[in-house]
Amino acid sequence: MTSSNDGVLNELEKDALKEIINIAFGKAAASLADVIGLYVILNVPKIEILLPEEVQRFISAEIHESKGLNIIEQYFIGKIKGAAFLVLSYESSKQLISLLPGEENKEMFEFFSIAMLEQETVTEIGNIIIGACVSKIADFLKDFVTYTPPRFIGGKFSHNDLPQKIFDRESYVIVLKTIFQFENRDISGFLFLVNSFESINWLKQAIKEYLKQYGYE
Amino acid sequence: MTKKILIVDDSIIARMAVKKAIPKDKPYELHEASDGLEGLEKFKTIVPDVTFLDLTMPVMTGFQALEEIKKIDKNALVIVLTADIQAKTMEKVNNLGVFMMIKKPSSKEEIQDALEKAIKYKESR
Repeated sequence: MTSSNDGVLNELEKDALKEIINIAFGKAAASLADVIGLYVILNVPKIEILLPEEVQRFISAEIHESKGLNIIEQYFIGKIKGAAFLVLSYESSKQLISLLPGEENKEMFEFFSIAMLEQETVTEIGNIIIGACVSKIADFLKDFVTYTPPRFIGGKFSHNDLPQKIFDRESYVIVLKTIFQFENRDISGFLFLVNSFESINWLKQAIKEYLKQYGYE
Repeated sequence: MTKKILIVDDSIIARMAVKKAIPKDKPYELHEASDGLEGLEKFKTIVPDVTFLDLTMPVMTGFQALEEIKKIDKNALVIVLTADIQAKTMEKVNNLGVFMMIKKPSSKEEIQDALEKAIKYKESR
């Protein structure tokens, strides 16, 4: 999908951001491997900058899911402010729960219903992925962000029910697509970072500073 | 004598970071590739003294490229530069016979140190 917002960052700036996200996903994968106890195979992340009104079409094209979506929402506040949404298909969410080690699963089933367990698992994984990515971008911007607790707002969500914040006309949306492969199971997730247009100037300036050290002016 | 260095990474920035760290006062000849397959092809034609290799790349991953490189030359000196910091990843690349593994983001000193050690090791063989 080609976005009319593609020109916000040039190819070099996108490459720099991709490398930062690659490092962040590496950190997230290590944390997930600790939590789930399974090896995570990392894939090259894909970055798109979308206009708010393009998000719905993008998700429809990328996630072919009739059973709905699960979303984990978390807000971050610093010099750069925004919201992060991790979107998983309903099937991917269900697969995540099956990845938990057997013994741990058995113990948790005694305390939680399957729906609760699924929600807890997806929320924690969302928290790890969002935290790793946003913190890495904040580090890069020499910023410090605080987070609101992650909130599970999924459950039979459709593409039409995405949080309105994503569609705020004063925002731009950075979409980070990656596939986390857990021991031969592909689980696709989309991370949407929604920021104000003011933040893009911060981001561009920081990338410019970052690129200077490699001789790019 | 000029030493050949091959840098394989899909990120222009990451390749630039390695290039910037390589001392200019020594006779190094630098070559670049932007994915594992291109890296493997260049490895065959250039026969580098040291290869810097990323793991998470399109077309052919660094794991696959490393495996193929080691089939061609089991003594090849490969320094893996990666953001994938899982213990099992380190175990996997060590089992494939990597010379050294550096975590991203890496400093200029880490890259220089790894290169120096690799060159010294090669000369001592």
